[in-house]
Amino acid sequence: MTPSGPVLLVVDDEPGILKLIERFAQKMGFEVTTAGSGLEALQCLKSKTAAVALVDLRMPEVDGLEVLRRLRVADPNCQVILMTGDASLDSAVEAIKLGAMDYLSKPLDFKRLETLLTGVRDDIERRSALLAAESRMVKQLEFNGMIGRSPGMLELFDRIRRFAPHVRAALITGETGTGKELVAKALHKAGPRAQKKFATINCSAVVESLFESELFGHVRGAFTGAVESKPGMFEVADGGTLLLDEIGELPLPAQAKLLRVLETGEVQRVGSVDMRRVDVRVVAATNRDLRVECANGRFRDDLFYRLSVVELNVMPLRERHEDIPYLTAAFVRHFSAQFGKSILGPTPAAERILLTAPWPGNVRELRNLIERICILGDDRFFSERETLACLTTSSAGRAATASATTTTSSSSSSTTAPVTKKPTDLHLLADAEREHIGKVLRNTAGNKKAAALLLGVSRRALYRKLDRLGLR
Amino acid sequence: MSEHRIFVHDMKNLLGIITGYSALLLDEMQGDDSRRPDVDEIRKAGEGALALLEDWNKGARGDGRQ
Repeated sequence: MTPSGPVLLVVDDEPGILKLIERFAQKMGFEVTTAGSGLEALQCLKSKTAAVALVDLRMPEVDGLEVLRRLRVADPNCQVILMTGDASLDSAVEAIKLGAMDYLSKPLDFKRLETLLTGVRDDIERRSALLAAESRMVKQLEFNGMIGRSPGMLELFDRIRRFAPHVRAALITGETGTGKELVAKALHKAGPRAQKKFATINCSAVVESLFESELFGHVRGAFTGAVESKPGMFEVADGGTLLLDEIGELPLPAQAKLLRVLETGEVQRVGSVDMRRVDVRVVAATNRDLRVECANGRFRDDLFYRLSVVELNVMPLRERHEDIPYLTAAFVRHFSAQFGKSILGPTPAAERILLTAPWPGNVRELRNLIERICILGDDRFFSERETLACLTTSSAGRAATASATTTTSSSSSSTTAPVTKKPTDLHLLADAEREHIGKVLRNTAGNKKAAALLLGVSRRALYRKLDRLGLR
Repeated sequence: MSEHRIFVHDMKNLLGIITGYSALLLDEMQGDDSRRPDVDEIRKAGEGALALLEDWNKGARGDGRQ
């Protein structure tokens, strides 16, 4: 899509008027869409959103007030100007009450129309300039792929810079989707091993019996299926950094072996008697509270102390909402380019939703939301309607809908609006899962091993689900 | 809507087209274009007709009430 002027929708049953206004508005740099009736206008709006609509009041079937009413619901960001050759005070009052921007009498005073349209265009340009400035700021706020200007993030960046040259082992904690892997990579890139290998192993994705082989390697014939000798991740990452993602999922026997490697700096391939020296910086990441895991005997204290010499916590997104505009700008630029769109960013109302959403999935969730919006959207700004529609597909949606504002005010600069929309009571898959797992757990008197068996999943998979559903 | 009001509405639309296009033309013409006075005559006639319509409309509405 080539960047074009803002869209003006003109609705009038007199073709001559349509053409006249079209000529006039095109000269002002608007992209003009015309509709010969109220019905046609409503049809038009299904495929296209307009920045401003100029609507004749008197039209057969669907009149101007009805178009205005429907437009306010369908696209609250579209400014509506009504026009009529038969001005009456009543209809003018009604129009303004319904949220019309202005009311013009016919024959049109083109000077007045020009002033109104210039105002709309300037608003859009100001918004574009603001979003472009945020997008430019992103570059300055970026630190190794992370974006932040909140005090918490600046402190985190500072700690990474200070620790990176020296650290041997580190623990990164934070909720799911906060960017723990990026922190690990930053520790790697900012340190002396930047040119060496950075390897990742996701502990929740490895079959329990294969942990040792994955981490330390094996020799030929060490076990059934070991047809060739294979180095483990420690050898792969030798000289560099190894990220043990979701370390909380590591089974206890593997934890003991990992601890030994951290202490001796030597690995032993499964089935081999030789010790191999490795020089690996180990960074572990988890969204669990390892102190609790230790207290419950699911994580070794000694390994925890070994790893947590340097502990870096990544804040959840809801605690650093001042970063949301910049994160949004970065994601919009990325996905807009990827999908060949010319989306600049959110409307002010959409931005308010982004700022107040609870973001249980953190930055990843925001990123996914922007990706969906960029796939579906075409206009330069995405509206609160598009944002809510994409949000409700994620679990954050319900809460966000509750905090969202539906405003009938035509002013785009209003900062507060009453909460009038109730959350839609969608029955999400996660709800059904939560309910079912809860029931099974009650039946097994809280025994997770038995519950996992009944549910047909591994115990580790059940723990992961419990974490995700907030049942632990 | 009464026939009378429909008539006024449609007339206003048509006259608006005449005055609107003449204004557009005047706007686009060079200052020294020799056709300017002609277009200006069209515009003035259109505006005159609109004023006349307005007066007539007021009179007609006044009569209707009495």
